[in-house]
Amino acid sequence: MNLDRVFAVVGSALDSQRQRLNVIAGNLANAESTRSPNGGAYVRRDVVFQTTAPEQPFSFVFASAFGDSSEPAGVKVSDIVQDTRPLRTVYDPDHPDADEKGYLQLPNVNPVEEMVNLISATRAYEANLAVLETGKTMTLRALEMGR
Amino acid sequence: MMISPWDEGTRLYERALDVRSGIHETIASNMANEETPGYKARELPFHKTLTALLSGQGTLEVHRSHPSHFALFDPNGNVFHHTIHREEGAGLDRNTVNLEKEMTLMAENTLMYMTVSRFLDGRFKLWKSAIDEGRGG
Amino acid sequence: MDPVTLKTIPAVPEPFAVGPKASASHTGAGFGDLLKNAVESVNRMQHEAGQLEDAVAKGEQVNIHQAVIAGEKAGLSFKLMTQVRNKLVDAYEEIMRMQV
Repeated sequence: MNLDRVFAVVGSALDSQRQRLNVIAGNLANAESTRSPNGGAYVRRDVVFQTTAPEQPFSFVFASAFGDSSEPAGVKVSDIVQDTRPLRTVYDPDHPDADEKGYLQLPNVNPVEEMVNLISATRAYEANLAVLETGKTMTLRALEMGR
Repeated sequence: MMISPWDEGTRLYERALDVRSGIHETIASNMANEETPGYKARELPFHKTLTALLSGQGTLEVHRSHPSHFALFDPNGNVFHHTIHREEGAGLDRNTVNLEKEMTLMAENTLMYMTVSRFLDGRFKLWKSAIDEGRGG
Repeated sequence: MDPVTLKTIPAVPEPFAVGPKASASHTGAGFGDLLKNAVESVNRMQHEAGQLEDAVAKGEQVNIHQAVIAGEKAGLSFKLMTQVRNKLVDAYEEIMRMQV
């Protein structure tokens, strides 16, 4: 059991899911924001995952020396992108941010969808943590051999 | 040259642990990339890999013969040589990881790792007591 | 030496040949080699186990079960060698005690 490598992979997963949770939290917090830093209503954001070789001092150098690209792979958030779906439009002439025709643009955030994503990210976080815990258990067992 | 039972007698168990270890790392990769678009789930077939390691084929026998500094510390590197990438079961994002499958596999793989470790543990204790009992005999 | 004489006299089996040269060059050297190889083998195992353990200590990536197994094997080999040596010493002392 190579706990260092398992830890590197799991670590990258936990980090990525944490970033995803942050983005979801931001979406939920701004679900009704009609003003955002770059003007206009808040636009929903999403993370983009990408496979990556986690930080490794030795083994990946070894693997690439032999051209083996099947080494364990971690994950990272390569980009945080804006959701391209259209913003919600409601008729609300009394609102200070309504346009001259009385229409108001609201964020394209669907709270239900965000909650589903929140559960999904939490489940992914816990699943990856289980991989680490199991790796620890195996390591401890190996250390007991012959004792 | 004194031939002791532990020179070669543990080879099967050692290689089995190497493969189990590799499978756990493969599961870790798949779980980490469960939602990565286009990622193909990796599989390390246990029997095929173990057979290949035991017969020395497809490996570079790096543990003993390679002069590279890293070889001694990562003889498991050649285990991943037998990884296959799964294409079936892709979702909309072209990702083929199935979380339930990975969790099930992890449970089985972990149990087998613990079991084989237990076997080796038994062997070492047996040999140790055999040597110790010789004392004073 | 008369070749005819040699043919008719049955040869004494090698290990029991009496005479300083015969026993020293055959029995002594063979056994010494055996011991030397054993010691070298134990040394090598200790060295490998030590390297793996050093790697673990230095935080380099090692499959922990390999380090443990190497350590156990090296330990067992060393113990066995020690026991064999003890037995040899005991046997030697017993022989020395024998009345010739």
